[in-house]
Amino acid sequence: MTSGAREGPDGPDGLDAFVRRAQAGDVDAYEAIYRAHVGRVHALCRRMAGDPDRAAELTQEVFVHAWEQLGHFRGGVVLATWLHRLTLSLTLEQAPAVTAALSPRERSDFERAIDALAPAARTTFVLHDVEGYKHAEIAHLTGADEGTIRAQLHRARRRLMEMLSG
Amino acid sequence: MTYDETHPDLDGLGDYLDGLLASDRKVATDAHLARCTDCRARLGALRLLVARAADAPRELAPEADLWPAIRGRIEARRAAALFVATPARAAGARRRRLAVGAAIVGAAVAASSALTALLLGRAPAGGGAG
Repeated sequence: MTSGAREGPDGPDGLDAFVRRAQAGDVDAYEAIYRAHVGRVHALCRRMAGDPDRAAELTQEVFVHAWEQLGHFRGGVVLATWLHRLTLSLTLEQAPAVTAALSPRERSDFERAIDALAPAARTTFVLHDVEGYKHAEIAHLTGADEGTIRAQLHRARRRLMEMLSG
Repeated sequence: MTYDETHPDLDGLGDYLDGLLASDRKVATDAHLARCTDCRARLGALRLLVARAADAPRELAPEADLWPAIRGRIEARRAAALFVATPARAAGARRRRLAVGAAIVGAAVAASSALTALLLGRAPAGGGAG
């Protein structure tokens, strides 16, 4: 997968006009972009952070940063892809500080089990099995070698199978 | 299940699933899986986990609306950037600083001149008295 993300189009909402208006400084137009993309951005932040409060902070950070960088966004790249890369960069830089304590009850067992993984294993599992990145891409993104990424993925899967079978 | 051969561990099955095994190991694993129901069951459970991850929702809504906070931060940054970076404002500030500096220097010179004149005016009288 070249860009890593299991990406989709910007959708039928025709956000190009909103992007142009936002690039000209229209915050209301930027809100439309936020509303269209917050679910996707927050999903990645949530799984990478393993903690709801940290995920909310990261999501804010992504959209404030994206606003500042929006002038550099050019057609030819799908906005969702551009935002995904920005989210990934920020979450890898800032997210996985600790293993989550206890995630909210309303989360599915599967999502709660991901939260409970150790940070490095969680990052690798989310990027490989949820987001669809390859070992080499994750190694490049995280600065770890491929052997380490494979070991982290094995650890994450073993742990998840234990948690979900129990 | 046969017990006369080594069962691949879960990590080995993971590599098998990810297509990372060398061809000879893949052939051996294929052959083992064809005979071993336990390993097929473990591989099935692993496949299920990986499929579940791949099918996880692409979108998760935040627990609260984050837009008001984001908008607030954007507006604050815009205001700060306008205040600091406007060239005309920066030039105005420079002019004001120069004017204040000139006024201070002027006042100091005037005070000094007045003091000098006062001292000079008194000196002869003081010198005459001494």
